Amino acid sequence: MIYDEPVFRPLGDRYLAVEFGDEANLLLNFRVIALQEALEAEAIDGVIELIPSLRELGIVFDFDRTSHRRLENAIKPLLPHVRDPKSLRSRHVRLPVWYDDPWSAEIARRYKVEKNIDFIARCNNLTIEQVIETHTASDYWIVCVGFTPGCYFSRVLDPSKWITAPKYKVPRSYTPARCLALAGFSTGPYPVASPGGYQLLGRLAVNLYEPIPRNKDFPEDGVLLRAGDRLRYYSVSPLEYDEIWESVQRGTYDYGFRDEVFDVADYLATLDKPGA
Amino acid sequence: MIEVIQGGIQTTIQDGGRPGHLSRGIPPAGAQDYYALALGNLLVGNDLTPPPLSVEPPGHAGLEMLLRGPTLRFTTDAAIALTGADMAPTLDGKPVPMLEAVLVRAGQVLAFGYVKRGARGYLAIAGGIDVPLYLKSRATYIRGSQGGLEGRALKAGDRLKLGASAALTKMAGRRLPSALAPWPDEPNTIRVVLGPQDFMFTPKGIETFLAVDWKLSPVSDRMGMRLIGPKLDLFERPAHLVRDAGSGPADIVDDVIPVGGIQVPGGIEPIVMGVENPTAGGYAKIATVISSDLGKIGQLTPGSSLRFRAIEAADAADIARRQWAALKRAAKEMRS
Repeated sequence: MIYDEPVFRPLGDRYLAVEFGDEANLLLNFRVIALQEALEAEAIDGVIELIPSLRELGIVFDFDRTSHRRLENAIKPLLPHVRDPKSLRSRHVRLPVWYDDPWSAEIARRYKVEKNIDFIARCNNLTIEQVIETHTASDYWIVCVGFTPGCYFSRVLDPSKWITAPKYKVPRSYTPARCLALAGFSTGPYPVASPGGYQLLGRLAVNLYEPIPRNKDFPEDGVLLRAGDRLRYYSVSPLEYDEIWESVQRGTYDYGFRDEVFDVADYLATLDKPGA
Repeated sequence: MIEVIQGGIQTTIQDGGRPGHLSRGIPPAGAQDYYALALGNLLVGNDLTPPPLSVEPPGHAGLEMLLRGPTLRFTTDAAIALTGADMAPTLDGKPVPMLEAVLVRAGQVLAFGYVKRGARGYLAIAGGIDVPLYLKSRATYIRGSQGGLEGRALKAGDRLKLGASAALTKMAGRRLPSALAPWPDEPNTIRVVLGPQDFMFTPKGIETFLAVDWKLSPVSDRMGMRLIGPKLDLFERPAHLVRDAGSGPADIVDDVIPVGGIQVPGGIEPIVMGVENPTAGGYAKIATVISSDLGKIGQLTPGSSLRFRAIEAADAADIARRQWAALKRAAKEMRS
């Protein structure tokens, strides 16, 4: 459901949330990111931090300088401008993936499940080659960074390239760092080794989280990506994977970010076209 | 310098934590009971510990000690203060008073037993513990292995550098002003603001949540504290949520999880998020613990019971504001 008017909800005494809807719809995220942009430009008194998620913007505020009520009143006049954002600032970056990699295969053996990429192929009536082809044929939009440091949820921008699979019935207690996985509407990474339930597609040749950044492309907190970034996954051979991973470890890898403006109106128009 | 002879169950370096990185998945960490650490810092003339997620600088770093504290040898004179949980502290084998500044001489050994009251004790030391800043804070983020000493709990053989401090002898015997309560009045009553997904629970579900005595599960840490009690009744969800969020009765499309948020996966075993919270997730949150009571719930030992009381968000903000103002006032008075 997309709400006619966003709903303001207090999350205790330190946060106010502006919720645009309750469904998994990219349109909601465009509004979230647009409100984030607007609030960053406005510099409203007492706002400490903005936390975008798929369908709501969380706002941490300073209780000595503002209140839920005052913040709500300050945000309300901005809402008409974020309802149908024409364009959003969005960085674009390509991420190299070794699809159908040996680490993911080993995890499937260890947890006694079907090799995940085989399972994904079966769920979508595709061959493994077609899974890779499809997964690398569209940009993905990061709707939210979170859960653990550097983890994100990304959604396919071209709906015809959507592939999906259900999560593990019983989550794994371990996933190797940099594995890339999908479930439901989302593709997401495991930036550090952690438990998880998404189906493993492959392994990224690059870091998404460097607690002590070695590479110039990382900000101070070591988290490479943010909500509103666009990604294009691309397939690399084992040899290319090794070469890239070596330069990542040396701190010399160039992630190749492109600062762009994403034309939301144009994107939504293409979606509406028959046959799209 | 302090030499760690025994690490204790889980002793970590903490200050007010590192706000500002929630949108990157990095929780604030810092003292689970900021108020207790703040009292200790007050007593030894340190910078105050601010409430979690505050814009204020994080204050001097001290130790957070879980259930059984460490054994520490001081190689220099120091002024210390012990607050929070009572772990029967001794200095060279003799009991040390809590809630007052105590002078420790070089060579003396500070030791702790198992908690008698509370779950987390705090040791503040004049000048603070000096470890490198990570994102402007010295707080240990255990699950992320960052901050503090190598991002981990202390162990035997560790050595802690102390920050500079003057006039140690003048501090000895200093007590707290009577306006500052050292321990909460109702330690087992946790105040909450209902929401953001309270509407997904039936009136009976909300009533149960607020009426029963919950038990703190041993499966609890700084990330989340799990509660044992009855199942909470949820409404049936609309079809689009079943489609988009999953089949569980409390599944929602992911949103922001605040520090103190109370997630109820499947309507059972609520989890209260601590200062190392996951920042996003997909289960209904019935309520949020007010920031002033995050310390209170952090002082409950596994197996102890607690009850929730709902208050308005504006009142919760008032409580937080008053608590912080009282600490700042006391700091000013004690300095003059």
